[in-house]
Amino acid sequence: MPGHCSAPACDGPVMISPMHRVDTTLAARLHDRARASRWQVSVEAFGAALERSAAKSGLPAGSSLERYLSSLHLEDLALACACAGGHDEAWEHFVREFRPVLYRAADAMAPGGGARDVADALYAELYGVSNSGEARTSLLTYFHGRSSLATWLRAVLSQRVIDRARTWKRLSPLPEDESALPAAPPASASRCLERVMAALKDALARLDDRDRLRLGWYHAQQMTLAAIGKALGEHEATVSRQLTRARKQVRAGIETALTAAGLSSSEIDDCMAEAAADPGTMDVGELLGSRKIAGGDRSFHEEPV
Amino acid sequence: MSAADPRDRAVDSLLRRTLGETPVDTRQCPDAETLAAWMDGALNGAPLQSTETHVAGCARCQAITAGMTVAATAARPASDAAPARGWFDWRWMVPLAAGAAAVLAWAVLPESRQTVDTLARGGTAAPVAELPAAPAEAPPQSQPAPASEPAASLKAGSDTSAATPAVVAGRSRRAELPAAPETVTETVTVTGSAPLLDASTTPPDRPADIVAEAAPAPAATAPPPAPTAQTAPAAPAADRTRAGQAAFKAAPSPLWRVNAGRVERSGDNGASWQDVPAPSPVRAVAGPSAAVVWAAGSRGGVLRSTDGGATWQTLTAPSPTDLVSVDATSDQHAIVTDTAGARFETHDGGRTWAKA
Repeated sequence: MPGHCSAPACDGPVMISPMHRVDTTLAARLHDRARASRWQVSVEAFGAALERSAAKSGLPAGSSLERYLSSLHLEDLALACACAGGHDEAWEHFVREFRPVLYRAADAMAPGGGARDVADALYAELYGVSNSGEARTSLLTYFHGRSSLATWLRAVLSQRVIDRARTWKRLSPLPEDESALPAAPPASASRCLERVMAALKDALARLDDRDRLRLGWYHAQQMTLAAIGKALGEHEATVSRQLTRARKQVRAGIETALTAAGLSSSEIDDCMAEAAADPGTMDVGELLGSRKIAGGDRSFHEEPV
Repeated sequence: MSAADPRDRAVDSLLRRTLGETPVDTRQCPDAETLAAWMDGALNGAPLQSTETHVAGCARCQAITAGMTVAATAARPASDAAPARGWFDWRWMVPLAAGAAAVLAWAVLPESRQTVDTLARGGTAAPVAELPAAPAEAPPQSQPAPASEPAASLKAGSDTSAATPAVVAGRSRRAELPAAPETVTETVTVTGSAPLLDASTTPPDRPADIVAEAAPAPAATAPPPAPTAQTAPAAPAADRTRAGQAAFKAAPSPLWRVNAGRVERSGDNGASWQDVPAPSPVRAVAGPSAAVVWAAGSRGGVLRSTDGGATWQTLTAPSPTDLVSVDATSDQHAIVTDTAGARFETHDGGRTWAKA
């Protein structure tokens, strides 16, 4: 049926557990709320998309399926469903509303325009690529409505921009001139560095997730206090206060460890200054990742986008 | 953070150099859809906990989410940007006009005087004449469906906090005004005290990276028309009461949702959403009736409104940990859940809580 959503994104065969089944009445009600009919998405197809979203969420037994589904970005889900199914009007709407989102995001992530090509490649995948003899597959298949479509697009784009940057960094060649390489630190400085980094690792491991997140965003990612507050749902002043407290904790941990190692106050000053000036080539391991994910469950991981 | 102390400078330098270099096993990283759900506050329970724990220890995911935040900040339409504060800004006229009209209505209409006084005390209001409905705003993007528990699924029969939708609609319009002087009377109960900021060591912000952010303001492209006295019909008190009751019965319960920490309300079954300013960012919201709405956020923060979000009460925190969900059946009864899965219940409007 022309324009009818029939892509795998909408109604392909997927193993859905009984607790994630959506009855027709609920599907119809949400279909109306999503205004899915304007994209000619059938109730059955939209219901299948809702079921996949419920399955992705890992909704535990006893939870309200209806409450979960009602919390989804239903209109975005309907649009994604229609676009994945090749509905022309839906795609035109998507281009009009979300292509600017994609390009603004790319320009924000790389002000020199370095991410535009990533956005272009992503745009093509959103439309869908088709291998010979196979149906067109759109990246929008992996949108499940838990976030807004705009947020999801930014996540996908950011992931690709970051991964490309990390790949380039790994592949950057070493300087040919050996004198450009940093000189090995003296033995005493190496011991100092080892102590400081070990103490730093321990101190960071004792922080809770939110503290490590704020420190990572602020120091490693150079995010502003306002941006961190926005991401965590905290006031800017709260972020500032928490960062100060966490930094104090880290410092106290390092000082305690160095004091226990027999260093005097002035030696601690020198040791920390040396470590800060040149971390050296120590194996930092996973300083922040030393804590295992409690009940790490890969069930909420989908095919990497 | 201030660089005054050499050891603090050393710690900052160490953090800066090492936090971005942690090796990453990308097989453990959440996919983009999960990260997006996390950033939009859509995760709960175990997925929320595990995602947050992972991102806290993963330089790659921190970089991805940092990029998302930068992109989201840059993506706001120009109409959301903080207005230029010259010596004269026409946007100031809108709340001033609204305030003038309210004063005029208060002077002219005895019933509206009762309403304003009652609401200012944080109480409920008797039905009054219907005010002009808030203008529908065309959203810049497709509007998502409600994220909170649908109020339509809960009956407001036992709810005595009957602030009418007419009054709510008027206040919704006031809540939609640009973020210039806030005219909403806010009832805030401060529980506990926040530690004083250490001014000498507070982290500095980065001027080069700061993007002017508006206070929560809706994407209004044109100011809504200011209410005028002519819009309030001078009918007898009994007729206005009946009209208000009819409006209350006819109007559907609003839908509520949380969007990036902000409370949003829809009076048209999710077709459009309006930002409802709250005292603090929230993570979950529930609206058991047209006027009553509960919100829960970080560090046990619980907010309650009995006038459709116009004013909020900050309630005693039931738990020091972050709250991830709230269920409510009335202005007195609600249950909140924290990140550890512990549930706390109140039967007295949030004054006291007990583990459920």
